Amino acid sequence: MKFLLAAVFLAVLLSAQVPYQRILNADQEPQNWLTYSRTYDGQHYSPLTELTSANVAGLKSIWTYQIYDKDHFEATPIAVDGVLYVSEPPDTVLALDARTGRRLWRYIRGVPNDIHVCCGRVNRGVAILDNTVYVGTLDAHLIALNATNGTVQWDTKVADYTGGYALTGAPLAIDGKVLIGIAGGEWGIRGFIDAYDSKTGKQLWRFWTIPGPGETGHQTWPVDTWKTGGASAWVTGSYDPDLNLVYWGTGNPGPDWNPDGRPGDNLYSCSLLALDANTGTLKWHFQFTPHDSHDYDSTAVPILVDGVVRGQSRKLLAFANRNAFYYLLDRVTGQFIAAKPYSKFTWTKGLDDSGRPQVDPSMEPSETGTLVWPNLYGATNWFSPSYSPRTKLVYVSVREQSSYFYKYETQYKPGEYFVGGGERVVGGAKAYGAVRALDALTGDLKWEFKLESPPWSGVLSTGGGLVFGGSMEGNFYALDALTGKPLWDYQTGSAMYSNIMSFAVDGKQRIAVTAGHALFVFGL
Amino acid sequence: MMSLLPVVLLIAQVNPSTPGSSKPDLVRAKRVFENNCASCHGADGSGGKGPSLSVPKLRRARTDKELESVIAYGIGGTEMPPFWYLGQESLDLLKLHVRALGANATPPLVQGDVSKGKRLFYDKGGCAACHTVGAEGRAYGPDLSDVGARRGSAALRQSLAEPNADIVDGFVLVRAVTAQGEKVDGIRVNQDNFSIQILQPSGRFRSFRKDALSELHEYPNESAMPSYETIFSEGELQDLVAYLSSLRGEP
Repeated sequence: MKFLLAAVFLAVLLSAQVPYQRILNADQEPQNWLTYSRTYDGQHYSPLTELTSANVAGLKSIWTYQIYDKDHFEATPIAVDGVLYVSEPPDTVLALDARTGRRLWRYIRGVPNDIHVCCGRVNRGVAILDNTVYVGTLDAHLIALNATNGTVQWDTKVADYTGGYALTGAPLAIDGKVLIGIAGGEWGIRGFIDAYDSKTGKQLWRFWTIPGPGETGHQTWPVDTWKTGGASAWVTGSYDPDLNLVYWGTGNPGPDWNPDGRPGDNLYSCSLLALDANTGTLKWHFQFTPHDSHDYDSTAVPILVDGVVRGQSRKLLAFANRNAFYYLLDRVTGQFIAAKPYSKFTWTKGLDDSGRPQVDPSMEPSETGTLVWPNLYGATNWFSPSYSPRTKLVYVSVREQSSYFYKYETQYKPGEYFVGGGERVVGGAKAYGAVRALDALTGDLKWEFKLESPPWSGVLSTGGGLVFGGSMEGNFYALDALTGKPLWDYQTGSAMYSNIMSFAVDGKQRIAVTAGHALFVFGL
Repeated sequence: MMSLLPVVLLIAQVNPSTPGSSKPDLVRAKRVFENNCASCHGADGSGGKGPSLSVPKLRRARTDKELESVIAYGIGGTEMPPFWYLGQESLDLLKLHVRALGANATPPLVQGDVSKGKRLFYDKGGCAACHTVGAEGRAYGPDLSDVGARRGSAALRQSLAEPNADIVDGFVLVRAVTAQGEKVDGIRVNQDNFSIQILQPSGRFRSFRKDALSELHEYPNESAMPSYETIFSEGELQDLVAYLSSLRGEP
């Protein structure tokens, strides 16, 4: 009896442990989803094969978990051995029984009333490492919770929220470290990406996304504009353990729509950064949109793929950018390889051979409003694209929408909105959405599935040859990954601001998605 | 500079004395209004697709706090969108301009006869066959209970003469043809990627899977309403507009 108890205790202890090696080898346990994009390469792909084009028509609701907050429920759950860890807005963390949806524990944190967020009191998920769950909060704290009962292990203040700093993205946990990027690009912040010791919460390094005096790139900001230039880092990055490089996208320069006071490229806004995971030093950068004036944050999940380009085997990084271009970079050197538009654009005439945009001056925001594609939300946004190693296609949720961009005078005041303009969105029948399947190595369009309106839901591709997506009209649907043909759909009853993931419990594949104020789980 | 002068004069004329606000502020305020608000409320604020703001009291913005909230966050359930993104300074300028419009409001010239208009609405026009006003009428076209508070008189006049000029969201005409060959004409009440919900003129709701239909046609530029330009005389149109303008959601 004693022995049995000890064995049970040991088993529980072991099952709750997610050492770095497990996340590193995530493909060995396709039933779990151990990090934001499932794997460090940012592919947001589930290898599970139970659901296929032959049986997905029989997919049905298994359970639903309802939350009580009115803000968007945008988190991607983490799945570990029959438990889902998920954050609900604003900063609540849940552990749910993956079999039934019944709650195992809940951590509720009070959020100050005077927090500054541009776009809703949201949280996009948690990270797990060893026996700890990590969450960033709207008042810019990084918190470590015991994965078994949700109690606080440490609580580190990352930044002063009264200055417009906030954490909305899921942390990225790697070997002994928890990484997180700051949000607040509309509040005159100076952006950064931080790494903390996973055991103690002590800061290991900080990379300022806007270089300070004496640093390379500082001269791209006149006078003191670098102090309030934005360049947030609010979407979770990817990681290449072999190169030991972290890849992270950065947001718009500030003020967003009035660039007059910040002539220059405004490094490293709207860029992709490759940082040494141990030290946080910059290995290389690629700036997609120098001197941006349309709020085209380059905050999307970087997809790491390997492939043969022009006869050469390369380590690549694919990036579907808000600015309507799909980019392919060499992730060892940062070299620009190719780019192709995947959505309508008018802000630039095109890209030159180095990938630099040839910006059209007539498309700048103005006092009377300038009609530009895409609108400020971009051709895509924070919601994840998905890469299927089976089809070699990148699936992207695409927004086809324009808006009138306005420019106004503005002055920085701490804790106040610092954007210098705005936009009037052109909606109705003139805007629509799509899921597009792009050849990962060329960006060529293979198929598209049209949506009634521009979506706020990511996509998930699976080993069974399916792509799942969500619409603003509440449709949760499955497509054939090779053709885009719709195979199944379910009306969730609310606009979907969601990232879709898959896990298995008791050997049965499940698909999880948030919609409105609920987490839905489907299966056969 | 040449073009600025008349604007300044106009502002000075419209609003001779707004305490605590300088002329440049008023000029900027007018410009922000024209850029963001005029397409619905009219360049002079007298209304259009949106209501006239040249009225002494705005029912949803009696206090400055309410006014700021309406401008910043819009009005749920109406076409008034949020403008928070313009920033505090522009919001302040807009408040200034809207209050100036109200302070200088002159009562609109009553050109038509409200009670005559009401008779035309129910008798000759037969409008209640498709529109509700309070508890009266059949629901097929838009409800008109507070249309006078939502639309300026010029926009109302235009809707009567050219119904196709502005089809309200949620009232697009469609024709669905089922696999069995049944033609279903009506208003598209709702749709998503996979289904459509149609209100037939009889008042019956129908719902179809899109992939189960053999044809689906949409007529986004075609109103179910005929033009009343030749049905009514000019005087009758004025009476009707006067009646519609008097409908302000108050019984």
